[in-house]
Amino acid sequence: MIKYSNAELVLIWLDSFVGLEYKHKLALFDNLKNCTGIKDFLQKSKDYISSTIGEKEYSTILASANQEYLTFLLENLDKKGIIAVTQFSKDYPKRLMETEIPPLILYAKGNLELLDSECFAIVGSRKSLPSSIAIAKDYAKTLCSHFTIVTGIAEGVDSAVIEQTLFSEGRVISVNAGGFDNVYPKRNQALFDKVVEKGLVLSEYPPETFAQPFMFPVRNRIIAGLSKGVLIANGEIKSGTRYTAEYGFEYGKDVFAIPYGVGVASGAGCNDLIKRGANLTDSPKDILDFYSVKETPEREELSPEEKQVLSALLDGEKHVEKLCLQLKKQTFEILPVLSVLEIKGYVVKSGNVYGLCRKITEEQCN
Amino acid sequence: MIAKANTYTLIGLSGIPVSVEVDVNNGLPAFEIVGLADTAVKEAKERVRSAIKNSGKVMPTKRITANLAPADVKKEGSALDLALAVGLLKSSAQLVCDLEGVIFLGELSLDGSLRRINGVLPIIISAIEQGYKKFVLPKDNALEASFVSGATVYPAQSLNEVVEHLSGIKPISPLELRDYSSLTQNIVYDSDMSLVKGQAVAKRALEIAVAGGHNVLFVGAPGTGKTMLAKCLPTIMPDMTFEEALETTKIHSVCGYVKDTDGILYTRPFRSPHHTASTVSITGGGTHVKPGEISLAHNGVLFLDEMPEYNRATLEALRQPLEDGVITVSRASGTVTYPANVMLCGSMNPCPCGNLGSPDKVCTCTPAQITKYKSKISGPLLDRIDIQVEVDSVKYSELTEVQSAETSQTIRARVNKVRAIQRERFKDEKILTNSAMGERQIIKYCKLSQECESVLKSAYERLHLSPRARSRVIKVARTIADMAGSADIRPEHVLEAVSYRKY
Repeated sequence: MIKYSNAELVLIWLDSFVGLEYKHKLALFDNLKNCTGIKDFLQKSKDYISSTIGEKEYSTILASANQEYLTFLLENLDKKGIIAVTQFSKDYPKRLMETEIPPLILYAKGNLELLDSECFAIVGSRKSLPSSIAIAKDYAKTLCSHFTIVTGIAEGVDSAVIEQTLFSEGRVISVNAGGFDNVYPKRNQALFDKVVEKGLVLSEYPPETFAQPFMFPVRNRIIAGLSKGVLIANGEIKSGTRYTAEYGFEYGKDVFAIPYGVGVASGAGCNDLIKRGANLTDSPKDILDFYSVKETPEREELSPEEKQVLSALLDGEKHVEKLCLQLKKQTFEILPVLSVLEIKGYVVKSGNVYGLCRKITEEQCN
Repeated sequence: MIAKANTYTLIGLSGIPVSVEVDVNNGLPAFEIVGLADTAVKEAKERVRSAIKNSGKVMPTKRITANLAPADVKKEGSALDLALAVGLLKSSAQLVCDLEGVIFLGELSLDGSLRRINGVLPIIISAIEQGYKKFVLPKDNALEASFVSGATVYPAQSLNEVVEHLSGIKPISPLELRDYSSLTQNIVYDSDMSLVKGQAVAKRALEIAVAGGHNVLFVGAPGTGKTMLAKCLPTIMPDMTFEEALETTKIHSVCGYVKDTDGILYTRPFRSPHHTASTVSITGGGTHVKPGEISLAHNGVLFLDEMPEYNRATLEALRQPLEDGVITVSRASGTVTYPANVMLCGSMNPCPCGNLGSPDKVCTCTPAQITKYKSKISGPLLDRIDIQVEVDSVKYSELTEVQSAETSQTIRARVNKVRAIQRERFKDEKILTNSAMGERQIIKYCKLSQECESVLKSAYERLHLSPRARSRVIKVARTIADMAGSADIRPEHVLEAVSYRKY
């Protein structure tokens, strides 16, 4: 069992009352610092609690103010392999502490060392075009060898980023909105388990908490707070990813966004961010350059047919049939080439429309 | 005097000989039918009585007993009417002739004319196997029998004609044997591949599917032409051989679906049951076990439009017949096996609202809805669908640029060649097409070079193919290689096969 200090123990105990709002817990924070135990803490905070949250709530808190309940909480965390990283802990990430409303406790599962590493966040919305997902994966692939990738766990970009990072054997932190017992969305439980095994999952709520809609935007402040920079891969005008960007701006982080064409609803949020001063990026290299990271670009050999198809795609995504007409080839000659390019990560398939998902220069096609 | 007339009843697709024994006794006037007859047969006595009277004969006012032997087989339908009437006439000495060796089939109308019955073809084929040669049939149905060699068929329009024929007053001339190949020469389909504009990928996928006997699933938004493409499937399938045509006609004959003008089904059936169809209507069943849609589509195409909308149990029921090519239906009344060798063609939207993945429309479905929609088609069923191809609408301006497309006939010629390669390859096996290969046969006939293996491996890693997709990809690659005339599977074949995957 992990050794927690007295103040930490009381904080863990206090944090288990989800009904008690953050601001109240924060107001009681000074009382925590040098208390000797729950009884002592309650003595000091009695007036505040009963006057702000009412007698009834106070009585439930009072009823749980005993050693048995605390032991139960600790054993529960221990059984589930969860470590409570409190603000008193030396493991608590400094970058997060510097933000305006740092979580009191980060419930963590996995490799804690990642909290101290250089982080970069890649986030996107759940409703993503296949091309957005492919682009986000390309960024994750390049950036994960230099940064710990921070993201959520939703479908779409977030889970694709996790998959890519794990596949490239990079480090990844997934910040969950609810507690660890209730992974949302449920279907990503397997992915969650993989992150626990090879990376780190975080949440500011005790394990039993169900994710509620308001928790998602609040969670995004942790993603932004942990990271050096934030990349918004896609997002509608009203999208949760906006909050991550807003927090990024607020905390003075480097915000990057991928540009989208006029009328692409799932990218309008990104364009809006660029208007408001986010850094425009269309290649992972931009971000490496921004942080002056040097990387020797891997030269991939392309066959003449592959080059021909890539150059045909330079002016925008195309339907297979149009490609056939343009290159004067049969479908069965084009499809294998497109599959190779898809495997190599140059193009992405959406129905029968293929488009580039990586920045290609004309020299590369010649 | 006892008179015996022979007729047939059907159990599934096999005919059972029934001997109708009629005896006219003294006693109170009555007409009794014994020998496990169903309602339609019991009612026959009223039809027979009126038909005899209205044909100018006399219904004896005596005690008449008709026995249907063997007594332990359930007889059904109205096809026994004619045998009853003929037996009765002979028994009451109004007809003097030998009824031995002749099969009488037909339903009587009250005025004595003969009406069409169901199941003529399977009955005749069974009867010939059992040594009968002469048949008296309703004229409306007689064409069905005209392709069976060895049968002498006398088509009759009324009871009177039958009586005059039997007593030698006015013999009916037997039906001429028809040649099947003359029918297949000028088949005109309503659909043709050349009428489908654009859709080159889907067309290519269809050609591969037909060439290798692979089941196929179209994924695409509403109105992109999935149904139109599916309707073209029969037009590019190899022509039905006579044996295939007979098998399929037998099933359609049981249900009474054979057209009177042709007498045989010479185009491959295309069945598209609505998604509200019950499981029994698809698999076959009922009190008297009748063939379902999957058997009616035997040697042809079973098209399931909007596949996830079908009842889950209905879809799961297709798994076994898709694997075995036959379906065995068991009911209290008996167990019947119907052939069900079909090519399954399904269609579905990418998500409930249909806009997922569309570049210009926003999908309004929640992830949970999409997962639920896709999970309607279970993994084991998807395992049996080798090719999943996306169909998307091409803009009109782009359509006009497309040169004139190939006709179904041209494609069919190519398909025939590829099928011939497969017949040669599997001559020692029990299968006919690449899609039917099991794991053992895949190892034997689909050797992959190092290069192919590495392509396949990287495709798995990059494109997240499920492990169960592996053998599907290999089988399709085998067909593509056959189409290219290549003995070995080459990387480009594997790569093309990889592009026909969705899940």
